[in-house]
Amino acid sequence: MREIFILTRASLINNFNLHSLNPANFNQYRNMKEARKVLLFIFVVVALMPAYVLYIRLMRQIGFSFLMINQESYFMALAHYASVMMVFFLGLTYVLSYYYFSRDTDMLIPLPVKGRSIIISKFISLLVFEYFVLGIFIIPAIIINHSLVGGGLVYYLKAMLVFLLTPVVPLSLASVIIITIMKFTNIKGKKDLIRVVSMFLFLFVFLGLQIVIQRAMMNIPFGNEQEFFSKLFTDNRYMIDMLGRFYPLSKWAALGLADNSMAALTGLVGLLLTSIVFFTAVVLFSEKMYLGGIIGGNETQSKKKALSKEEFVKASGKVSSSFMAIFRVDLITLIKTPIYMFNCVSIVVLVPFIFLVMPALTGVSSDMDVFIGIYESNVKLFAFGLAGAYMLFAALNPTASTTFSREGKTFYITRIIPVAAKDHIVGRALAPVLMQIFTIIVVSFGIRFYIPLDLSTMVISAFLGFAASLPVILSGILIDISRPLLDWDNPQRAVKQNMNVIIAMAIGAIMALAIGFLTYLMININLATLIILLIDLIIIVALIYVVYNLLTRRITYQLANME
Amino acid sequence: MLKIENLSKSYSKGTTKAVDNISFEVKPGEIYGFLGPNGAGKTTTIKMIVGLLKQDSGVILVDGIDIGKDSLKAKLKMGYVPDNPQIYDKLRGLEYLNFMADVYRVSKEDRTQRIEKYLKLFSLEDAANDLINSYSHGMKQKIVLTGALINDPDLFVLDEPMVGLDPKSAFNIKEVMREMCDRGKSVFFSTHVLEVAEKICDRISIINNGQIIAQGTMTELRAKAGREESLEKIFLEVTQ
Repeated sequence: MREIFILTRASLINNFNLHSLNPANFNQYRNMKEARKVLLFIFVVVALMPAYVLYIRLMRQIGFSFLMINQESYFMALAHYASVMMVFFLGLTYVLSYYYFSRDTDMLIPLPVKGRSIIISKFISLLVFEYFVLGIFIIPAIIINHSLVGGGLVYYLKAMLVFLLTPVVPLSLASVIIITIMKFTNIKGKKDLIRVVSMFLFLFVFLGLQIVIQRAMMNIPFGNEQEFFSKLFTDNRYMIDMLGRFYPLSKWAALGLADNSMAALTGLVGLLLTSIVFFTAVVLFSEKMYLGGIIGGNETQSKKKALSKEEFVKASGKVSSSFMAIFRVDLITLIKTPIYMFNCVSIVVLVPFIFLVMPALTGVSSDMDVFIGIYESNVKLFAFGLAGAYMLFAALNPTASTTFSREGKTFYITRIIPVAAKDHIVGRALAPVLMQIFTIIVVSFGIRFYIPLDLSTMVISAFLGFAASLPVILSGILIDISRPLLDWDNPQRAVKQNMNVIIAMAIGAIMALAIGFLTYLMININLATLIILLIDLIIIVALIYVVYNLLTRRITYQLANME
Repeated sequence: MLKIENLSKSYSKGTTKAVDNISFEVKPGEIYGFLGPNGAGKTTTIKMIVGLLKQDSGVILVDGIDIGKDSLKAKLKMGYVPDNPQIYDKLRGLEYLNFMADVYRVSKEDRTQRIEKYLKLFSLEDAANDLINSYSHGMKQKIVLTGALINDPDLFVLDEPMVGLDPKSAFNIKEVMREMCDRGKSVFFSTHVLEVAEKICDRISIINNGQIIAQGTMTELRAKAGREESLEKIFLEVTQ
């Protein structure tokens, strides 16, 4: 127990930089640099506030809609279920990173501590992290639910228990899955590749299953609609029972908070016991599997085979320009680092997969009806809307906004090499640009399976979407060079715990919204498509010019002056 | 080849002076040793020379080019080996060397010839096509050395280059330094191995608390000490 306590304490201090919260260290906040960080944090919080208020309003609206159809307790179940999914997906990459790729693991393995203790301490650290993220999303739901179901102080005490237990099961599941994948892929050869492929395969299967389950959950047999609606009004647990068939924990959490009946108590006890069972399972499972997956897990096998003269001349004689050399290193590092591959490249594969392949695989393409409707009623709006969506994809991709941060301790190489700012920019923009081209091509052609897009719509949206992605990508690089996160001991921090990603997303989204709004106005006053396209392109070129110049100056300054 | 004039650098808003108004010159064809106890200011000076730190005041000239004014031109003339060989782990050895050759604009013929020469010298031929991730500390140090030599730099800057090298490679790097200087190039390096400095350096500076406290050839240092002493004894006396 003492061992677990010591490890957890060290892990929490290390992961959350708790020493900076110590009043004895407050003098560093007087430092201008620290003050700027705090100001930036406040700025990001304030900038995101409108979106958060919108989220709370939406939640309220959903809550009251359920109240109107006599299914108010379903609101909490749904919020709980969504939170569980979020914890699970976030958990997969966090578990992978914290259990296997953080540098403190290499330090802990030779110590006389049990594998189980390492896992428990890491699990608790992750749990604490998940509480922060979860809190943002579920606390408004808990408060809204209180206005729906009522209850006094006891409600909030029960809510605290539900909140604390919510991430335990999904994080346990994520732990077991990752430990299993890592254990069985700890084999000689192309280990990283096998692991990335396994993770993607798992995600695809899981997403597929998820969609099938959700459809089945809400499936109303043809001809039974009347019965469904009458049951909604007579049985206030009808919807919650439907969800409960697939994920009883959310049903228990919602029932536990609904009132103080026996069912509520049973729900809470069920939630508590299940969480204990899952946590125990992780502990037992990790005892057997964790060390087997991690010892030698990050080792790379060397062939130690000299190249023949021809092979050597071929391999050493490829001359490239500076930007191509930078691009090549960037791309190889992206592809060969599972954490980067998973966080940066996954979005390019997953977005088209979720929107295009999944409906075909699961036989559910009704989601596309909305888009078909827009296309049929207003082709112009659809084309420009699709271009805007491409722009948002670029903003969502963290590749550009972590390009320097990902280098970590090797960033000094970027600073000592004699490379001009323009080569740095092109070299670093190429990977996200290629990903963007890939996404645009796949979506443009994939969408035709559902919507009979004409060629001009396809070309306009693809061309404009691509052009509009460039200032978004450049501003991502600009954010990252302005405040690169280089001091990390775990590659996950460079992408997932990097504020630059959020700032770049916000800036990209603002650009998309501004251009989108202007375009919408132009469509509304019935301007010709070509004119709208031309005006948009002029704005985009101006944006590229401004951001590129800012970036050139910033790179030159930072590479010379950073400390 | 390298001229440092009144160079100063302080940390913590000027309260800690890491480098305090130092000046020295490394001439073409010279091996210059930079010695000093831990925390004396060696790495800070080296980092300012290669452009990793900005000086508070003073000038750094590489072959007459001010690194603060035309850093790209100055960097093209340098090769740098840091004290800790942190490099791109996910690249193969040859990929890293090609990257360095590309950014230093080395021609196809030159890079092939130099890569072949240094890989052989450092016994890395068998590992050149392996991932750097699989290298030992010493092998990483050797691939960084090879990368820094790929542009045949006029000024070769090394921070503690002997750490982690096996005796044969340490001997070889000394040979490389000498051979470069014979061709009119300059070597500037920091080290704690005083025997090495004594044997191969044409001139030496000893830095302590950010200030250069002794400077000159071994003969000049001995003359200042007033007796025939080893560099170790001189070092211990002046840094006490």
